This record gives sequence, C-alpha cells and structure tokens, in this order.
Amino acid sequence: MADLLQLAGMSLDATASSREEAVRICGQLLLDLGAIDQEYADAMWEREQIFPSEIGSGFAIPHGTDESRQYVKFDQLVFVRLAEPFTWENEVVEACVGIASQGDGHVELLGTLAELLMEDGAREFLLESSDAEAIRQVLLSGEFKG
Amino acid sequence: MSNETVLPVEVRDPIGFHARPVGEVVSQIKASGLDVVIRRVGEEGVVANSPLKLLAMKVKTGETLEVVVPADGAEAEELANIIAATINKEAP
Repeated sequence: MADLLQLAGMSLDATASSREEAVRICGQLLLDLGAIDQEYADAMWEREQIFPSEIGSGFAIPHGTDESRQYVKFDQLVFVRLAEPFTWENEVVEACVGIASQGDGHVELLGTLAELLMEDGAREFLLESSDAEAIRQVLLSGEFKG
Repeated sequence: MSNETVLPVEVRDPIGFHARPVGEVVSQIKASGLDVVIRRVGEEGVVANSPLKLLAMKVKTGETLEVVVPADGAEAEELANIIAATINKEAP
C-alpha cells in the first residue's frame, strides 16, 4: 500500500490567490494520484464554502463531504504550500493539507500535524524547508529534530 | 467544592473527534469567554481554545471525554451540554 503522503502529492510553491484555487490545486493533486474521482474534488470546494477548513497556525485542511466519500479510491493526503499566503476566511493560510479519506485513516496523521504545528521549530520547518522528502518524513513520523 | 461543571461524553462519531466538530467546539468556547477544558478521564486535558490542541489529542471513537466548564449553575450546564452535543454532531 502506498504511503498516506507521497512526494508526487507535494507542492512547495503553489500559486493560488483564492481559497477556491488552493482547494482546487489540492483536488487536482489527489486526482493525479488516482486517489479520487472528479466528484470528490468538486465536493472539496462545496465543503469549503460551508465550513472553512482553516485550523490555525497557518494551515487549512480541505476535504470532501460525507456523501462524496464514495468517490475516494484510497486514503491519501496532499501537501500544498502557498508561494504567497493569503487570508483564508479569518486567518492567513500558508499551507494546505488536502484530505481524501474513506474512514478514519487520516485522523492519526492530522493529530500528528497538529502536534507538530504547536512546536515552533517544526512549524517553521514545514513552512520553510525546500526538502520535500524531509517534510514528508516529518509528517509521516511526527518526529522533528530541530 | 470548586465551582465547575463536569460533563462526561462518549465520542460516537465514527471518525473520532475530528476537525469539523473540533472547529465548532472551539467557536462555541471562544464565544462563551470561559476557559473550558476538554480532557480524558484522569488526565489534565487542554483549554479548548485552539483546534490544534484538540486535534493533537487524537481522540478516537468510543473514548470518553470530560467537558469542564469553570462555573456552575444552569448556564454552565447548558454550555457543557451544547459542547457535548457538538462533539457528536456528526454521529449517526
């Protein structure tokens, strides 16, 4: 089984100037990886408009609706860092973790992301490192050695 | 007796206490202006004013949490009940 987060699902300098563009970039990466059908990508934007997915510390976590879960082929996350951060709904967002999930497979990794974001050094690393593989390893393992 | 209201709540949402209910709980707690704590039984828990702190708890389905409102009386009970209902808002 492929890792929950793959290098091909990471973009460290994505260009987006709106929430919709950013969410669509996440959806497109998940589509390209074969993790979802287009219906799920569309549902990610639907969900975003109903309930903005910003979680604080400069991160947002776009994901689809419950009804769209049938269009997820396998659980997968994507990491999209914005070249130019912008105000999402209430807070400035610098990076998105897009989620495709059939169940609770992503919850552990999101919890890990939350833990990392509360450590200043780890948060800076995730937002500034140009080494995608290193970022991937930190997110998958939850271990950051500053 | 300290004046706090403690309400146990079993997480019934099939994906645990996840981002959407967490976000709503944080909004409700911020609106209340109180330092509401969410904890596992016997643990210190967190002041639930940040989604990150709650997500980092990685609460799974079937776990029991306690909502601790630092006040007593009907209003505190109502707030605790609202938060407990939100935690299970997406439960079937």
